[in-house]
Amino acid sequence: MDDALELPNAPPKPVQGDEPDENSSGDEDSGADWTKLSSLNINRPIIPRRGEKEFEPAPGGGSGLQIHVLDRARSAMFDALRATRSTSSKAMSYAVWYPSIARAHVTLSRGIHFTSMGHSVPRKEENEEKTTKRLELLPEEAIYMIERGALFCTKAGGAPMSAQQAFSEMLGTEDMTLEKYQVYSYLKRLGYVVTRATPPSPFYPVTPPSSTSSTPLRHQSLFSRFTFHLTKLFSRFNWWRPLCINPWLRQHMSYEFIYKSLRFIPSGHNAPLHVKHTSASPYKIFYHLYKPSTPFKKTSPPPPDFSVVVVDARVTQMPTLRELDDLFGELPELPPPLSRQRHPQQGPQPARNQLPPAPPTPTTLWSWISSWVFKEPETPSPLPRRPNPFAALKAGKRIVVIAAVDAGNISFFRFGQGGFEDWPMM
Amino acid sequence: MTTDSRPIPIRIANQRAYIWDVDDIAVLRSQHRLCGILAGTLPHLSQQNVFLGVPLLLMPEEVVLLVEKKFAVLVNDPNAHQAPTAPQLQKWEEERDEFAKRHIVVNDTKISQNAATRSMSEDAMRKRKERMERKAAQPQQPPPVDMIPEESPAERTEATPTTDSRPSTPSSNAITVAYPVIIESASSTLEWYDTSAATYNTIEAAQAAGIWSYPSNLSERARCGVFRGLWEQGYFLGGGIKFGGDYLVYPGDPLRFHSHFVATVIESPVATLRPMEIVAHGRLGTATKKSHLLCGWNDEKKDVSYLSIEWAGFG
Amino acid sequence: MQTHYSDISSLSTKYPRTTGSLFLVYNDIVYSQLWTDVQVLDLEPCTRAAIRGCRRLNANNTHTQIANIVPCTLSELVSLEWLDNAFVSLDDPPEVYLAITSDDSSIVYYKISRGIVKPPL
Repeated sequence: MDDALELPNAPPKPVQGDEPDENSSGDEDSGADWTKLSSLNINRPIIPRRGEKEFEPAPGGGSGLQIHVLDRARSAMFDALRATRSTSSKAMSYAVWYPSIARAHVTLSRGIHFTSMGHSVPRKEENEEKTTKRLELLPEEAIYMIERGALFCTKAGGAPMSAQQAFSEMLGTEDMTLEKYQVYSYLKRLGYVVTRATPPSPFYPVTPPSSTSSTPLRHQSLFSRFTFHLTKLFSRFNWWRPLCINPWLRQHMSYEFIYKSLRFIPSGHNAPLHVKHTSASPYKIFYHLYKPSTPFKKTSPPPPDFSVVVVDARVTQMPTLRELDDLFGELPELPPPLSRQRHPQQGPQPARNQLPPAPPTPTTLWSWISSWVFKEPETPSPLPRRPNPFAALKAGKRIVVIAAVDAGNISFFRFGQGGFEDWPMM
Repeated sequence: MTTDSRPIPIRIANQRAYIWDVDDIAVLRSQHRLCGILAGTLPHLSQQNVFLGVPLLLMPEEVVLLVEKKFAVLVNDPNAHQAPTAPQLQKWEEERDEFAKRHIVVNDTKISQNAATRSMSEDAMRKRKERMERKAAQPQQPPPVDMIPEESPAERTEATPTTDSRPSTPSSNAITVAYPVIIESASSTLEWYDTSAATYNTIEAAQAAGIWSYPSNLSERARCGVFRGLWEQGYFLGGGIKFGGDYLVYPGDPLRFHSHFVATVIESPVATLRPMEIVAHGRLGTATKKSHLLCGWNDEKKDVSYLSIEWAGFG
Repeated sequence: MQTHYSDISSLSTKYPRTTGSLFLVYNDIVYSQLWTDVQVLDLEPCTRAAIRGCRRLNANNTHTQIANIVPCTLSELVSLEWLDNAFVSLDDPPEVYLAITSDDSSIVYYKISRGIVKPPL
């Protein structure tokens, strides 16, 4: 069943485009067989497998059979496209679109969509003095609801808006582009909760600072900057004699200590890049993404499961190192993935026994400095349970998803910041 | 299929090109070998991404080709969406209420199926007959929409343009019985949608009006030239980004045939080409049973030359 | 054997910069791919030598095909015009094999055909 592949899964496999059917038929998004659509059950739609395709039409425009099969495929497709957006009057929500503020004011809300869409804004009504709170939708939320047939939207005078009018008039407002909308609706169709990463107005709910990792992150980056300068200072101090062996501490004779001492060029993502900032980068985190399983509270959203960047592939270059670094700089550091086995074996792991277990925060630099400055032995950890370093390296310390949209074709790429400096292999 | 010579209106908004009318999508595909990409949510299958619905989004190259060949015109869509006059809006509201009432009556007397059949246009009847003939064992048409299982959406859509049926808002009449509310897909069904002052017959005119800019540089001209060159040879073309190229080139409708080539556009005969690109394209093509096409655009002569790459089979 | 290399040596002197890839490809074609009647041609517009020979299509050499090879290195820059010139200088064969050599002496061959040539079924 193809739809199983399209459903979001718990492991960090957040988004995927068309199934990576590498050999032959995965090449076109129109590769699905529309003729099998008609027999579907509405309540539990089963996406049929791709139909078998042929190499080429027979000479002279195709054989009779080929033409017949093609006509059948086409009319199945056109029939499906003709389906009306129709909802029971008892389930329809209503809204009025105000182009001047780029919001749809929801006048009647029904259904589960509003548990994760729309936000409350105090507005002054035309004839009234005081402000009242009302529910408003961002352009992407309004278009998506209209597309689903769940929202009947009108202009201020009462004129009904078609889906076409929603695309024409709502896109292009409030930073919403067609590319960003396509990514939004793609993810919504898969069941994700999608919110803006940067609040478009002060009334847009954001993740409360207390519960997020963004504040510790800022501290941490300050901290790492501080330690970096310390490092530089001390490495300058010891430049010609990096290896100070303290005869009283036998631990300093270990290979690990010697290798660490010999490294005077800092490694890892805490070392600043010597590349200038580019002026205006198209690589900005635009959406926050929540898996359907994540408990989501609209008024106080939790930290996102994924952060998504959307670029127009036709006019955007590959991200530079600086652009990726800037993206990762905004993201919280993730804990290493838990190993799948309940009781990980100790034996066959790479020889790294003396290192502290799984660094939950990148303390390596700090511990390195402290071992230098204070000449204190690292306390060997009593708890040897640590994640598989390869899983941690593969997952990355920070993850950003970049959606590149080329004339309607969405490709998702996951960029992870590899923490190689945290997982030395010896 | 009968040929339709009326130019297709391409709706332009924010420099993007859409087709909203399914009949136009059919003409584009069947007569002009242009597929575009479906970008909308299918209302009755809204939790998946395999089958998508209107609008059809056209690649800029497709737009330029269609307009240059006089198959299509460009419509400044935001401008075509005029505000309805008071009588127009009143008429729409009356029709909407009428539709709701009729539906309730129909529901009450349990003859909705007959009513639906009666209101079907000739075209819809013909299509339905064709569908029946196609596969006797096949169950009825696309699945019905929630709440109103007694009527199939395909039939209702076909009936909609002729009966001009419209939904209701909660305000006016105190109807407590549920009835379907329809959100129109295409604006062409709205009386106040007027393209007459918003239509452009050439790319240049649309560019001068500021609603369309493609092609605006050598790279875009090269893409348009190559796209047209391949299309004129009888191929169907799709986007090639997932295969590391600019286009996928199909010998027939992509619904039925695999693509033969991944094509890349090279802006000029003297543009540098690294042998690594040839290896990468050739390798990927071989792995996917495709050849790679290097399509060289000559901007002075306005012509395209092609080189096909495949693995040699030895070495 | 010596006579072959004397072919190469004259063109090597003429195009010293491409001698490396020519030598590699020549040896591979003669001794590994076992082509017969291998000759070296002057490919002046591409400032290098090309190789022409009979390619074996089956094990016992009953089916052969005359084929042309243009050697180049992975680090060179070419262009469509450059490839076009190679076709013209080789008397417009339907296809040319581009032999791309890399620093570690490995060679990959890709078949380049003029026009739109569909893949084998």
